[in-house]
Amino acid sequence: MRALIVDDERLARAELRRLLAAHPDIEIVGEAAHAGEARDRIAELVPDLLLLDIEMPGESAFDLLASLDAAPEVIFTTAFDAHAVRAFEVSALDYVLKPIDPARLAAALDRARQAVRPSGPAEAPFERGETAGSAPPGIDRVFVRDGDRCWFVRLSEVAVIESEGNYARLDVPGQPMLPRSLSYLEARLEPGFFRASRKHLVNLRLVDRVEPGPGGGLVLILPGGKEIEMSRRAAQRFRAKMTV
Amino acid sequence: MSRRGYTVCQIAGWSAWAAILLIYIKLAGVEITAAAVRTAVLNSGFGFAISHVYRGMVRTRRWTALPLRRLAPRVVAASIAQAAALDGVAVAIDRLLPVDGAHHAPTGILVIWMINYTIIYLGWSFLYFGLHWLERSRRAEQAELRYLKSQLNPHFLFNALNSIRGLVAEDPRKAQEAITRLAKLLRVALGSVTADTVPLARELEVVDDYLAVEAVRFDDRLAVRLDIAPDTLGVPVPAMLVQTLVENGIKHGIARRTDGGEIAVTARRAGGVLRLEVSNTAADPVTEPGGGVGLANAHERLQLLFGDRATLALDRSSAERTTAVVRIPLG
Repeated sequence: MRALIVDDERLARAELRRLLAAHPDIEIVGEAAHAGEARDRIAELVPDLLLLDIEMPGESAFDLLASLDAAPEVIFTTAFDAHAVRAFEVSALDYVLKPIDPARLAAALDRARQAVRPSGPAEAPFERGETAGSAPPGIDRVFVRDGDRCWFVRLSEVAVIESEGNYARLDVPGQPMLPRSLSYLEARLEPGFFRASRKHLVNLRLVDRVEPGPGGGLVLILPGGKEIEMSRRAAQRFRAKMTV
Repeated sequence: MSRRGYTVCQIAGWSAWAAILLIYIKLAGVEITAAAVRTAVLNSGFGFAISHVYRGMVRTRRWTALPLRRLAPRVVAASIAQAAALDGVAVAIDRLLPVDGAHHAPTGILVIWMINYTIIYLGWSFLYFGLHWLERSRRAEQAELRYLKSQLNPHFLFNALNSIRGLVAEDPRKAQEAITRLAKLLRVALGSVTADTVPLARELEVVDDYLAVEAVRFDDRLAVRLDIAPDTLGVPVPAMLVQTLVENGIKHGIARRTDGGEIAVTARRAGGVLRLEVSNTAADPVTEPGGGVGLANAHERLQLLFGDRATLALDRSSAERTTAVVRIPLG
């Protein structure tokens, strides 16, 4: 697993390096001292894992994550901040307290390894049609915020993304918003997502069934009964995509 | 109230009452005889005893914990009851041991006595509960001072421990030095309940230890400049005050800048006050209004210790530097 260390204190970074030396499968690909530097390193090195200090000069760790298209696995590090720790607890984010307990770090790394390990082949009904193309894997994991709460969402588990002005609302509990337009996401998401209408990006893997709609269109029925209407033209694109 | 304080107040108060009684008797045109003195002493002695019984009841029923609106009617009723008891005693004394031969006090005077006694017992309660209240508010103030006394920020402490843990492998000698500094700092912070104020020189030693620990954390991102006039070194300042201001400057200024900054402490005597300035390179952009809890606590502590003549103000008029200015009256 390729890891990037982000901390404004040199000694804290050095200490993390020493602690990570006990885990030979973790390759430290780089270090960054603040959010801006981290953003560049992430773009350049595409790490699987961030060891991320919460309190950094300038932009916070959360600002950094919210600005990324796709979020790597993250283990937060913090010295002590009642407020931040509470945020972690309500958000079920993984964090280790400084000075870092090696056992606690090992447990967090275990969880990160499990999360990063690629999942087995999916058995969703539309799987075959959609993987026919050779598109690269798109954004899957995103970081979302809602007031004090922040968490990660796997887009493969989101049935529909709805446009809301310049934001995109993810149809998962909490209904978090991403500060991205639907077109921006459409261009970067994995190809399992289909632009069913001007306002909707639908995860075809999660569609329950398809029914004929008014005026030659189609209706996608999502789990939970939510219906997304497709115009005739969208329906044509849909049929074309499914029969490739 | 202490047991001794209570006894002294009781004896003094009721002795005064005996003296007043004698003056009354004299004013009534009666010679101060042994009988008169006996009556006055008996009267105030029984007054004492009744109030002592009352105090026992106040204590077992915890009246001092009652809010004023519940306490007041109880005190009025208790004062009337005590007055009635003392009135009964006074009548008995008058009948059995008349001051003036065979003359007994007229019935009308009993009503006057009753009013007198009621006022006395009301006054007794007023003093008793008033002193209790004063003592409690003084204790609350001390507790507040203790609370406000800057404790070391746990965030600082754990970050420092983390840096030192890193330093142990890298430079054991520096790590030892850092641990010593941290230990000195903890000794002051954990024990600072003992003194409210310390000479500025002592406070600057604490600041020096604090900065030495922060220097480990911030490496070359933290620069320090001290400019202390020698005639200010003996001036008493609230313990941990300068440390709080320096910590605040680092937390809100230097720590938020990727390239760090400078902390400067200056101390001068000027026009009957000690003028302390702690300034830091400002974070860019200034994100938080005000100076947070640390500064508010420092301000309150300053006022509790020195009154309104001591001030603490945050000057953010410059975009580059934020300066905390403290004025403490001299002498």
